This record gives sequence, C-alpha cells and structure tokens, in this order.
Amino acid sequence: MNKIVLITIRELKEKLSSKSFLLMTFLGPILILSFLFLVFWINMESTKPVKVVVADPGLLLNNYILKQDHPDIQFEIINEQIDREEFQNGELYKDYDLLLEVNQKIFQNNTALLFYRKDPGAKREAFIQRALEKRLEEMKFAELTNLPYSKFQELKKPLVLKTANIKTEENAKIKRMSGWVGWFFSVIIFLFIFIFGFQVLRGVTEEKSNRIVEVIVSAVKPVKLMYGKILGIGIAAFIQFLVWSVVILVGLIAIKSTMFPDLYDPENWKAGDAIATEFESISNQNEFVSLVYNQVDYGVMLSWFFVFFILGYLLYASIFAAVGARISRVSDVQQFLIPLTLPLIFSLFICGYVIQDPHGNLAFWFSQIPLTSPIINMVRLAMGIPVENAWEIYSSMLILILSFIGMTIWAGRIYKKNILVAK
Amino acid sequence: MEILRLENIYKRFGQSAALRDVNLTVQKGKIYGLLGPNGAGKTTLIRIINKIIQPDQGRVLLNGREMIQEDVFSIGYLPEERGLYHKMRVKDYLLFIGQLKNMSKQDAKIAIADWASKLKFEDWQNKKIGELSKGMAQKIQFVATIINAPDLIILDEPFSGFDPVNAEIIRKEILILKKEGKTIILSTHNMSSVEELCDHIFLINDSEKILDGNVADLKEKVEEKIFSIQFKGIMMAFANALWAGYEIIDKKDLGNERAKVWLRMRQGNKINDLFDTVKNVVEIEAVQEEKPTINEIFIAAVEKKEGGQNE
Repeated sequence: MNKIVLITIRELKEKLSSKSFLLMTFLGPILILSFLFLVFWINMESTKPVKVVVADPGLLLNNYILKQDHPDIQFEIINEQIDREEFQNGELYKDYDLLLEVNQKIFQNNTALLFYRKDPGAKREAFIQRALEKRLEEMKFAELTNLPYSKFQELKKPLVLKTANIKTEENAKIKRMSGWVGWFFSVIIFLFIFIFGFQVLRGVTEEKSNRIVEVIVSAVKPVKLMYGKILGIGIAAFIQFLVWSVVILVGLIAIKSTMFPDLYDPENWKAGDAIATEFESISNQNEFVSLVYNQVDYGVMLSWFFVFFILGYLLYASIFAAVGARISRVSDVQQFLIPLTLPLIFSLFICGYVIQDPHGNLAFWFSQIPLTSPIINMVRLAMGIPVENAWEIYSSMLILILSFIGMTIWAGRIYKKNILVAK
Repeated sequence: MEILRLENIYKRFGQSAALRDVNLTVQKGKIYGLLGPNGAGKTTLIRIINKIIQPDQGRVLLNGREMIQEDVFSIGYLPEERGLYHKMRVKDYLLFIGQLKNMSKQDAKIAIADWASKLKFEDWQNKKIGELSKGMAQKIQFVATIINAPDLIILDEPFSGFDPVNAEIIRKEILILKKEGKTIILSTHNMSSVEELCDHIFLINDSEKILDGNVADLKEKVEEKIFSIQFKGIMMAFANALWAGYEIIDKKDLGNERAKVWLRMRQGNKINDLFDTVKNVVEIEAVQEEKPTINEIFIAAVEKKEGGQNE
C-alpha cells in the first residue's frame, strides 16, 4: 500500500477515535443550532407590539396617527394631559410602554416628547417619529391648502430606489445580505483551518518531541510523512464538517417545521399594511429567517465551500507542518498559532468592505492573494459573480493550487531539514 | 562476504565537522560494535547509512552497489531516541510499521504473532502502547526494528533502559539473528555487551575512525602488554629487582609471603626478560598475560588520539 495512504489512515484513525474530536463533531452543530434557535426566539419575543399612549390635549392629531394598527406598534390617543408621574406609577397607564406628548407648540418648534419605561430601540423610535411627522405634514397641508388629501398622498409618495444588476436584475440589498451568508461560511473555513491546522502543528511537534519521527523516517521519506499527516487530519476535518452540515440542515428543517411554520412563507411577511412597506419595516426576525431559509443556496455554497476549504486547508497545513518541524517543544506551539492565522483573521475583518463593494479593487486583490482568497471568495461567491468576471474565481483557484504545490515543496524541504534537529 | 561499505564519508553541520573521511567495511553474518564517546559522530554515521541524512561527500554501498532509497527497507534500524505512538494498540503499531517497511498485511500479521510468542507479549497485543511498562515498550521497539527480517540490523544503544532480565532476552535474540545469517551493527556504551557479542569493532572519535578491527586481533595488537605474576618471596625485593624496565599497575598480598602483581612491560622487555630479572629474587608460581578489555582498548585509543592532538 502507498505509504502516504498508510500514514493518512493512521492519522485519520487516531483523530476519529479521539474523544475531543467526537465531542466537537456533535457539540459544534448543536451549539450553532442552539445559537440560531436563540436568535429566532429572541426576535420572536421582540415582535410583541409596543403600546404607545399619545397625550394630545389640543386635538392636534384629530385622534389618529396611523389609520390602522401596525403589528409592531399600537397608538392610542387621549385628548388630555397625562401626568408623567401617573404614567410612571399609576394603574391607568400600566399597559402602555411609551408616552408621546404632543403639545400646542409642535407646529412652531417641531418637537414632541417620547417617554419610555424600556428603551424601544432605534428602529421603533424612528417609526414613531416618521408616523408623527407624516401626520403633522398632513395636518399642515390641510391647513395651508385647499387641495384634497389624495393630492398630498401623491405628493408625499416616497421614492423607491431599486438597485439591480442590469443583466440579472438581482436586488442589491438581498445581494448584500447574501454576502453575510458567505461571511458565515468564511468563518467556518477560518475555524476549521484554525482548529485542524493547529492539530497539524501540534502533531508534527509531538512526533518530533517524543522521538517517534526517527523510527518512521527510517522507513518512509519525511515529505511523505508530512503529506500523510496533513491528509489524515484534513480528511478528519472534512468528515467533521460533513457531520456538521447534515446535523445543521436537519436541525434547520426541524426548527422550520415545528417552531416557525408560517414565518418562512414570504406571503405572510408581506401581509403588513402599506405604511409598513413604506417604512421599510420587514422585521428583523423575518429578514433573518428569510436569510436562513430562502436566500442561501446551500448546494452552491457548500460546493464552493469544499473547494476553498480544501485548498485553503492544504496551503495553511503545509505552513503549519513546516513550522511544527522547526519547534522542538509542544509547549512552544501555542505562540505560533495567532501569527500563522493572521492573514485569515485580517480577511474576516475586511469582509465588510467586500460586501459593500464586491467587485472593487480591495475585493479583487484579496480574492487573488492565496492566504486570504479562501475567505474573501466565499463572500464574493455568495453575492454572485457576473459571468464576465468568472475568470477571477478560476484564477484565484489556480493561484491557490499553485501556491499550495509550491508551499508543500518548500514546507517539505524545511520539514526534512528540521524534523530530526532537537534544539 | 561484504554487505556494507562506506567510502570517504564527510559530513558537516554548519561550522563543525561531524564525520571526516570515514571508511568502513561490514561483512555478512557478523556483529559489529560501533563505539565512540558522546558526540563522536556515531549517530550521524548511522543516519547516513539509513539515508535519513545525506553525506556531503563519499559513497555508501550495500551489497556492492551504491545505495538507493529502496535499500533502506532491507535495513532494520533502532534509533537511540526512539518513540512510539502511545495511543496505538501494540498489534496495530507493529502492523503499521511492517507495512511501512513494504511487508504485506498478511506477512506482517504472521511476523507479529511469531514475535509475540518469542518475546511473550501475546497478552499485550490489544493493549495501548501507553499502558505498557518501559521494558515491554522497548521489546515492541525491538520487534518493530526487525519485523521485516532485514539482512542488516543497526541497533543504536539497544540495551539502554532495559532491566537485566530483558537485556538478556534481547542479547540472546541478537545472537540468534546472527546465527540466522543477519549482520548486526551495535552502537553502544555498554562495553560488556560489546565484549560478549561483537566480532569486530569500529571506534569513532572526534569525527574520525581511529580503530577498526577484529576484537581478538585488537586485544593482541596492544603495544604495552600487561602480565600478572604470582610468587613467593619479599615484595620489596621483587619491586627493587624490576627497576625501570617494568611498571607495576596493581598488587595483591596473598598471605604467607605470597603475592600477585600486575605489571606492564617497558623498554621492549619480553616475558623471558621478566623471568631473568626476578628468578633469583622470588620463587615464581605462575605468570599469565592479561588480555585488555574492550573498555581499556577504547580508553587507550581515545587517550592516544587526544594525546597526539595535544602534542
């Protein structure tokens, strides 16, 4: 049997039988699912409508702000002054979350006061502000002109700026959200390279420090030992990711069918009133659920993930192996981990810029540099690469493959030279 | 018949020379002792033979032709600093090593069963190596070295860490391997094992080979021979008679005016000269030539080399 295969099988068996590997294989996806469940649940909780009592003693608003209730915010107008102490402690207003004071001077100073028991959050505050502003404009319009209200609506109809790709008509906002999905896959690539690259580094140093390496290199070339180790640990990482993928997908289906049977249906989120769309008020919850269930093409993303994960892992694992061969003590391993993964950490940080401008210079060059391309390309791929730019992905893959080959040859030399040197 | 030949081997690590013009020839079916102080270059030489490192200059020939990588599988090598995969089971480890040494899985399994029976570790085959005692782990290392029945076996400090019982087991196995026609090179500091096992020794000191020969021949070739003489008479008179031509190394009072004295010949004196010198002073009971131990040869050779350099 080929010696690289023998060493690969040995490494793989050792990894697969390790308790920490088994624990991480099943604990990892459970943690991710728990996190997703938590996000869904917290978002659900936050969609309970907020009740606002509007104190309008001067009847300035003519008893309404919104013509009908909004699922997120409900207004009730009282045409009298509300004592703030009474609102804070009294029985009468205990069901209301916010107090909005509209006084006579509002037309002059354009100022209203909003008191809360619990901070309503920026988005709700903006909604209340826009709703009141809109109502006041309506009142002023009626006072200053004789035109019918429909003319005001016509005049105030907001401009919708729809940004889309001229060829694919793909929506730019959805595209940016998809970029974050790519970023999530990039984080997974980073985690796997970090964890399993570290195991290569540690494994090489352990073999060196416990002196098994001389026994093995008397029967096999050092470079083959290095390749076998990288492949064995890499296959273990691949298996772990496959288990993660299956468990997470099954978990997502289970959550979808049991906990949020209606929420993932786009028809249901469009049920809000006209103002809701105008105020860009698709809730956080629906955006997130939509992102998870409707906007991730798992087939495409997983395929590219495997390509960039494998190439990225092989490149980094070669570097880790070469560095591991130069270290004689296992206790020294830890300090090399962060410097070695710094390009990956840096890539994760610049992903935000890439999402804003996926075809800019920054995105292009960092998608070609082999140490950063596995991370950057996942984001670019999630956002979609135009056909005429497809060569960028292929050139990036080619550079990554050539770098991997070059790096393994270089790492092999370093490994061979240093593996028997004890310092 | 020659199995291994090293010609003009040079090796440097940075500024320091590890080996300088080392030549040696190894004949089939014999046990060779590779001796030398720490840092003399023994391990470097062994690693060159095993193609783990390359010489800067010189050739290594196996069975008359220059060695290629594949040839190392016909060499069994037990390094001085030898580790094990502690999480592996004994039989899985031996199977792994056997297959790495080009054995088929079936052949490796047969060899493992055979050695398990010989060295009595049948009951330990399914244990993890980390659970073994040090002695048992060393037996596993020894078996891993010879599992593929190599023609040439190189053992670097094979007895280090062994208790006397297990060391004896390994010693016997080495002699059995020799009987089977295997060639063995032992690198060791254990001079009693060299004395007992080796047919031939190479002595390396300060990167150079300074002694190469058959053990019996080397003992014969010692220039200043040591004799023991047992006599009846007065010790003082015996010592005065010797004068400058002989050097007393040691003496033992046997009682009743009898004594035994060990002495080294000086000024080209022979055994007959000794007789002539003392026959009228004491009554000679016995005279015997004391062969030097390998340890003495080793120390004498190293001291001579260092003395030569100092001059």
